[in-house]
Amino acid sequence: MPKGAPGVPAVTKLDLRIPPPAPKLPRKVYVMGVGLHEFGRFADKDYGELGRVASNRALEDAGVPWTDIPIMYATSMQQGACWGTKVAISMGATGIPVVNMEAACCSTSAAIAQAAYAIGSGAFDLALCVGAEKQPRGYIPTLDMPAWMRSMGLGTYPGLYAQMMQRHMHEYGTTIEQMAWISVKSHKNGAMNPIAHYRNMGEVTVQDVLNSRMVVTPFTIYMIAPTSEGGGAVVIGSEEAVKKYGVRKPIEIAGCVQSSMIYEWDELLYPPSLLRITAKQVYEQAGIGPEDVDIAQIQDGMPVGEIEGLEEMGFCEMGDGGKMAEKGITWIDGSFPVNTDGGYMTRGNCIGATGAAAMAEVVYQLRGEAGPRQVTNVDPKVGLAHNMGAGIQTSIAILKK
Amino acid sequence: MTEKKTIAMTNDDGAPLFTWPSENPQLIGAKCKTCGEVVFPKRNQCPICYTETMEEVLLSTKGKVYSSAVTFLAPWSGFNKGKVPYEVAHVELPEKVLIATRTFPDLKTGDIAPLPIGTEVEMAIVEWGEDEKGNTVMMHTFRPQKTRA
Ligand SMILES: [Zn+2]
Repeated sequence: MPKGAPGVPAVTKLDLRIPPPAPKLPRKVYVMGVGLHEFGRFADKDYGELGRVASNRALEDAGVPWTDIPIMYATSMQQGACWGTKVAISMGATGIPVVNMEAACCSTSAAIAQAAYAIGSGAFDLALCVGAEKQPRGYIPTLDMPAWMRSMGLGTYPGLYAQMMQRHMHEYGTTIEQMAWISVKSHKNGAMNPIAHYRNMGEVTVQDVLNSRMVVTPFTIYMIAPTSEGGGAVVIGSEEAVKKYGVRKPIEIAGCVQSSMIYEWDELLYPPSLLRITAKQVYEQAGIGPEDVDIAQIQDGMPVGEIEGLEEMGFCEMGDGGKMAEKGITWIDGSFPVNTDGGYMTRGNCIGATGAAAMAEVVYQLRGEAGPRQVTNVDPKVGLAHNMGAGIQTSIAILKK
Repeated sequence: MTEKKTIAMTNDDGAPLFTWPSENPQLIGAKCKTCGEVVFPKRNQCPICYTETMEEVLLSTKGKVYSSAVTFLAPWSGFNKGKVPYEVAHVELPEKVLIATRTFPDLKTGDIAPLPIGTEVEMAIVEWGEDEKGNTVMMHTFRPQKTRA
């Protein structure tokens, strides 16, 4: 982490309403294996197949046979019903409990948290968390918003994130060039990621980003995450499971917290205190602070996500989030690499699998297996994976080597 | 024979978002009798003190732009005719409540008039379009306050 990380900003308005502390886990929980299906468009594959491929890759990575998995958590936002059993059936059904979960872009990270609680409390020794998505192009449907907002054209995430960004620009002087630098970084990282949705775009410059089509002021199309199809899976387990299967490089889940809406009158899309409250919870659970974190995955569906994420989780002063990419701090060769896989912006937002992708990248980096994306200026020992989704919900996990 | 009416945009519970028809329409919010918090649209339980002591209250018609942006991409169907670009904003009212709103000066011309943060605005009711029964649906909008003569 950059020297002098200021820590999570104070929660001033909500003293009486801070949610109960995050659960304590009696046992340690580890990521044993991760696997991703490519992100993009796959007309020839259904949800079950995308989930099957991702699951098998994660199981192979973990060295765990499918038939040993006692419980599966399956995530999606767009599949309607019973999506998890479709994956289980496509893998050859084994009769295990399948928990279908939906938490928008936090879906897999929320599932991983629930699975970690189940393993950490001793109920299970192993779990498979798998997410996938089939979805149309264009806007993500804002099913969490009332019909009047949708019909008046007010209920779009780009429109609401844009208003958050405008507010940030007004209060702190954040510039459109700083946002463009985040996109340039994302495109550079995404081009080195074999599963990224936008892996074949070549070099993208600040001018390219600024000259691309305006979608909603101040965001051009190069600053907005694509809606992707794809899949992702994570196998997690107890210390006993890690030993039993001889996992080469187990990564400890030192903290994982999911949180949902609170009310603040000045919220545009999500309440300003939500992220800092969640961050405080997860740091407390992991027994560390932001100064101990070496790398991070931060929701960057649009630049304001990465900018405010850096500030609210305590990695820079309020208002300095826009400078982090511009100064090179958050690049792969910087002192605090962020979204080394391209993040939502170029890896893609495959809603039901996005949380798995974020966690997988942190795992690859901590293991030193990120290939051309491997961070060069830090020897990462602790990584953070953050997601933010409709509802509004947020989730943060802290992983330790 | 049913007569076609001019009606207010409603929330998902069917409650109108503002008083209509009215000479001086006002947005309908709710105020907590216990802690004083004001919300829009109205709801039955306070998001600050969690009591069920909310009562309906009519909101101020003047406020300030809290944030705004211009959208160049039409959202899904159900949006009024998909005309782009269009402006989206949140307006801060003196009651400390934010109103999600369009800020078109006139829906019919489609002219956009981006309003910077801090612009003093007032509410107006304009036509949104027709619903499936052929009723004319009205929606709230905010536009710059007229300077006093
Ligand atoms: Zn109250």
